[in-house]
Amino acid sequence: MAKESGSSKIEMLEISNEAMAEAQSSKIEMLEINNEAMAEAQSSKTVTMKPAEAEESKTETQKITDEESKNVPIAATEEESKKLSITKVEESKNAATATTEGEKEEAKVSLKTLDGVTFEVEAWIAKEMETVQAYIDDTSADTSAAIAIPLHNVAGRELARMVEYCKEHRRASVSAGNLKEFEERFAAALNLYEMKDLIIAANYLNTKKLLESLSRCIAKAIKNKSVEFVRDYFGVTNDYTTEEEAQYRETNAWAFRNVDEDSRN
Amino acid sequence: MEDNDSYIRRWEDLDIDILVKIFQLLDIFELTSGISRVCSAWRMACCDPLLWKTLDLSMLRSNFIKIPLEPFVYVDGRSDRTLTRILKISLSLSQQSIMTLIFHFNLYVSDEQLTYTAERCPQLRRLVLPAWNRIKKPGMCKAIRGWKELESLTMPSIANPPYILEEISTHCKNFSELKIMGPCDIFFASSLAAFLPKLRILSLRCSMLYKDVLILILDNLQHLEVLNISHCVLMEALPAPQQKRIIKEIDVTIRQKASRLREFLTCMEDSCVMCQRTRTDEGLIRWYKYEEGLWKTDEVRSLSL
Repeated sequence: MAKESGSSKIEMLEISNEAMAEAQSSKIEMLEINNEAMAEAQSSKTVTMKPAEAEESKTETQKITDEESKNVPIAATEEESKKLSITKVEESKNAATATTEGEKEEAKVSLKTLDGVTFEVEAWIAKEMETVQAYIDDTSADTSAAIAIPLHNVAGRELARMVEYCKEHRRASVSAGNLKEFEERFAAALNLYEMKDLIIAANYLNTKKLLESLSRCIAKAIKNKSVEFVRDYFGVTNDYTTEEEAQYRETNAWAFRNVDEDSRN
Repeated sequence: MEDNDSYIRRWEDLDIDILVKIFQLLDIFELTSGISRVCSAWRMACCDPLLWKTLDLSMLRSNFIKIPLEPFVYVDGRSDRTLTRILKISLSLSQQSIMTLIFHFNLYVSDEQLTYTAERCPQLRRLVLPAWNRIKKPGMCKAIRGWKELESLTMPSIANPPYILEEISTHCKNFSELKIMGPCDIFFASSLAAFLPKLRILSLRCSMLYKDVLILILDNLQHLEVLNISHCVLMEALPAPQQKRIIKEIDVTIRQKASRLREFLTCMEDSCVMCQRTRTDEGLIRWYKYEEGLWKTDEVRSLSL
């Protein structure tokens, strides 16, 4: 009796192993189908589906496979479990490659500047511009992909510079030395008008890294300089009366000592 | 095109928030030395509360000499005038928005300067004032009365603590955090227990501390959550002729009493540099001998500068 039950156990084990192998093969087939479908979808247009819609759109075979995968028997031997884990790893690898390929295709955002220039930028660059990101979050995914996001306060010239900054910053941020060098180079290439317009654009789009970098640059130009020099350097009109000016000078005479020579060097 | 564009967007027409972001990168000397005089728009930006949440004067020190009589320091007139000017401009620009005020431990503020500051900082929540040599009792009391929102104070060890603690108890209903820079004796501890029983955070680091004082604090400050006695020289009073001895480690009684605290911060290691310094300076650290800014540190994060 005991022998009988033992043999029936072995038979059951073999059956379950066969079932498992079948389930695995059907799973792998399905994965290939899914990958093909994904590639097709990518080449045409990315469609986002709600979980309920996704469930409805599944084919019959997919549903069956899902049911089977829920009831996959536990591996009986160590060997079986190893095989199972290997196939799972392969599956996850396939899935991962599929998603990264998808991301490469998908990630573009259209931005339209005040002078009518349309830019197509990568999603990660749009994320750096928090105002744009907020717009994307507020509107549905479909509309943000189809319509160019209007930037009422930014000209094409500034946006081009911002995109360039984001890309270069990403490359340079591998090491602190590179980053500092890049930021200095970037700031040095701008004249005062460009810097002013760029800081306005960076503030409007809330591009934090660029805003900080430009602020540092301007603060450096102000540090330890006389009021007259700052006015002259930035072309700021003095709207104080002569009396106010004289009074201020008198009360704060100490502030006019130890300032740098009024030179632009 | 460029000229036209730059005319539309002149530097003085920059959004205030952009100017504020730039001015946040300037220190107190730069903010008070004429930036506000460039034009009215820049002055408006200089008055933004974001720039004045904290008035940090910890880089400013008095030019002084020590003298044998009270107030034990003589401050050079020029350095006094510099402080007065900086206070005047800062407090004018800040428009009563200062919440944290930090003075260097070698910046000897006078009664007049403190009163002037107190009147113009009604929202003050935190005061770091480690040197009180030139401040008299009425001046300090008057200042405390004006600071109804005061929550945190860093102060030196003083000979007559009840008057100040009573003022805090009466006028500062949200007061919860105290750091004493110097020895805390039994008189100070009992004054704390009497007037500030609801104190939540107390730091006595780097000073001489008697065991009975520590027990009194643990027994009487029932609301205490954090106690920092790191690098303290812990002493025990003994009957004559020995009089006192240094305790090398905290005993079970104290540990049990401290177990109700959220944090009980201690360090009594022979290998610890700060512990060695406290012992060398006999429980009253001479901060000027050591690294600049060392006095600002504290194991309690909310008290560290």
